[in-house]
Amino acid sequence: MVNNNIIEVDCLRFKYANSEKFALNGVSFKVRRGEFFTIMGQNGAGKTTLALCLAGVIPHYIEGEFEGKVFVDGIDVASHTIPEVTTRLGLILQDPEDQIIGVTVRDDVAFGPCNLGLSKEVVLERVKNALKMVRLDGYEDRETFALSGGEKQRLAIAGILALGPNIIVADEPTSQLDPVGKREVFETLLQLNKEGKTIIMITHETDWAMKYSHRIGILSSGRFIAIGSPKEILSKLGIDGLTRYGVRPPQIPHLFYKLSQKGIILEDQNMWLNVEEAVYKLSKLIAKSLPKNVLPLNKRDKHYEERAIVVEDLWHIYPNGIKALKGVSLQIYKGEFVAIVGQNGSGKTTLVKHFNGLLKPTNGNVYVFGMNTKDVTVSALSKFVGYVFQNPDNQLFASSVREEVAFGPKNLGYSQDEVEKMVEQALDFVGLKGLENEHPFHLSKAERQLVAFASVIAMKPKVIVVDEPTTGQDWAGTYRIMNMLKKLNEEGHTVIVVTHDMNIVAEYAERVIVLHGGRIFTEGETRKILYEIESLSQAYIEPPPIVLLISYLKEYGVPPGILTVEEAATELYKRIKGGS
Amino acid sequence: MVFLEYLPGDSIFHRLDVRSKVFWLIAVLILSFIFNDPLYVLGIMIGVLLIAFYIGLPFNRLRTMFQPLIPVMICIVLFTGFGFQPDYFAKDASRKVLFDILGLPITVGGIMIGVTFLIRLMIIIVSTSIVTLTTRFDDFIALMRKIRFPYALTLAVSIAFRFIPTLMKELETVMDAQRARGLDLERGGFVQKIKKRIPLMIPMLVGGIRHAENLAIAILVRGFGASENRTILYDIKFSRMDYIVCALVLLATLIGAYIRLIGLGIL
Repeated sequence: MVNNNIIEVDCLRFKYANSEKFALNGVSFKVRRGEFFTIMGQNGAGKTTLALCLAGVIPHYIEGEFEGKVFVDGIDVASHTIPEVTTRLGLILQDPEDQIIGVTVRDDVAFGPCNLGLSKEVVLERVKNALKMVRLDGYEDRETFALSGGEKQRLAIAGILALGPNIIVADEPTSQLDPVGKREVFETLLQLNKEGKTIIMITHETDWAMKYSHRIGILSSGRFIAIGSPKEILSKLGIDGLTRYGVRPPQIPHLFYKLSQKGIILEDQNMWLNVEEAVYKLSKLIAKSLPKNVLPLNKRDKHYEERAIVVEDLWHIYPNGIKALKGVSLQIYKGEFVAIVGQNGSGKTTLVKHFNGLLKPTNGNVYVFGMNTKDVTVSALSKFVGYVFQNPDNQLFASSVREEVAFGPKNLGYSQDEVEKMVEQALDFVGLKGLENEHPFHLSKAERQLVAFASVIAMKPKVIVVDEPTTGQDWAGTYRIMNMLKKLNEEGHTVIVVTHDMNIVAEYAERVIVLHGGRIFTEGETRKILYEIESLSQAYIEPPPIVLLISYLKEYGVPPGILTVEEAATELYKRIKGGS
Repeated sequence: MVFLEYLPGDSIFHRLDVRSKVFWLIAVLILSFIFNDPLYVLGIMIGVLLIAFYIGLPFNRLRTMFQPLIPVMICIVLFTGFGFQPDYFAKDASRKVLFDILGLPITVGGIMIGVTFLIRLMIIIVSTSIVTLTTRFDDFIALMRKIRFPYALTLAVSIAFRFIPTLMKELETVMDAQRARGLDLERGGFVQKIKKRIPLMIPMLVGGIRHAENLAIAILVRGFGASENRTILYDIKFSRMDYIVCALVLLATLIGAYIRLIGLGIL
């Protein structure tokens, strides 16, 4: 009998040796040869554990209680060695840095085939082919450390391909990458799938997953809640279900879901549409009797006077000669919520590192509440500008949560009593009260993120800079932080977010500054800037789907300026009902 | 850093087997240590510098390395000036006392030994740079294999080398994160300054462990240990040029040793 299933997993359970809970608790699924199968679900659902089981790392390398069967390309993983599995199924990890072993690209790709003891000619042939498949041909002699994030991850894929597997399992391969890198990696995986490889991808990127997967499996608490085509998943779980299992709902179906709640139900009941299909359906529903181009939605309602940060003709040239900023001038007002966007290398992190003095201008001036950052130390500025870094593990060091959060206030020279009060307030704010005595490293990644966040806001800075709140986070984690920032902003703090995530920008920021090539490309109200779709594409920025949808509906009288699903649903409802 | 980079090129030195280069390096170091007359050591230095010019060594980068060392160098010359009593020297010219400071005589020989030390230091830096700059990293790895270094250790060295830039970047991020929380690394006394390194060291250590865990998985899924006979991608081979160079180096070392034995080149 020909077996079309390249992967068969039956009643898989696994408990890590040092854990009390089963990370996988009865996983059963099959993947067909040539399929693009995506696994989604919130952090802690067991996605990585499942990937490690498929690759044989569990149970051969990582120990624990293992039950059930895992068949990969005809072999039982538990009774074969890792090298036997790995020539059939290759595993790509999250962080490209941790998978690069070689100093040069050739060395790195050759590492796998050399381990297999193939002849030198075969190894070099495999290196050549693998690099071609990820479109890195010609890179053989490059040094690996000088590659971009997307290139590094493609190199990691090449290193796996050189072993000749039929299946590739990619565990959040894009979570550390910028949009350009993400696209590179997704397109590489799609191309490999077209060439016949079976792909299993773990990701939080709903839009990609929905668009390109043959099937999606939603994992929660160590088992699959639902498996099916994107449309099946969507109709089975609905928007609420997706949200519950930590999957960010795709915007367009979300909109139709909201409309259906208001009583506007599509005839074919199919909510799963892309932007073009949605434009077509809506254009038929929208009443044309309403006047075109009514007033844009609420203009910026607040007025700002006091300037928090002033940047004057800022140039920054790194010691290696790279000109990261070439004459940036801007003002950030007290109480604003500003997003700074731009592709990698546009200078956004360089810019915000000037706001708390981590970097000093090569030329030009930066003033923070009137102080020139050239005259003040970083620690003096840290009283005014808090900076939340993307990876909490780059800063946590203390042996208790309390001590960790107290570090900043202590450095600022507050008294014992004041420090205690500040720590308490900060932990209360992020919802970690009761965990004061825990060791930060015993907490989950999401909790560690909150500790790091608390450790910055405990210092009560007037301005809070957040660098990439989405990197390495699941959807729920990102929104938790963003909602806290919103609350702080409402309490009067100035918030500056550096991000690639345009949905976040649309939902939270009042003003957006777009950097490109070390200069300000454009800046202004989010409602205005995000609708400059064509010009944004020159800075490699794509607005969220809802913005694209509304801009296409302009000729039907829908005013531009809508940013969120909620706003779009309200406005469209008015226009559809208005005509009937 | 001058020490670790490879300088692409096609000189004879580039084409030599790494073993010949290491042999040359050892010979240069032995010769510069058996003489303590600065003139002789200077002769060796000139020889090394000629090779450095030949391979196109980036002198401006060497200079930036040397600059912070200048005060240390001056101290070396002064201290060696004190450090040797007149009866240490064989020659009368060297025993001559220039002047006394607090009863300690500064001799001509002492100052000259100081100068020798300086030249030696430069020889060490320039000659090791020459070897590392003209040798691909793979050749060093091949050398380790040739001397029967266990593969797992060779791999560890190789990964450590590859991780230097990654960890440097990470350290920068950790420093930024802690400075942003008000950590002032410059202020405070000696003990305090050391205590202030803890918030840097712990995240780096934890990060290192995390990298190591992931790397172990990455190496395993790339078939580490699959075959007893790992494919050798780069091998090192002795060419005719290597035999000639090694013979010349050996000859030069023997001549040097002879000169030293008949009592020349010392103070």
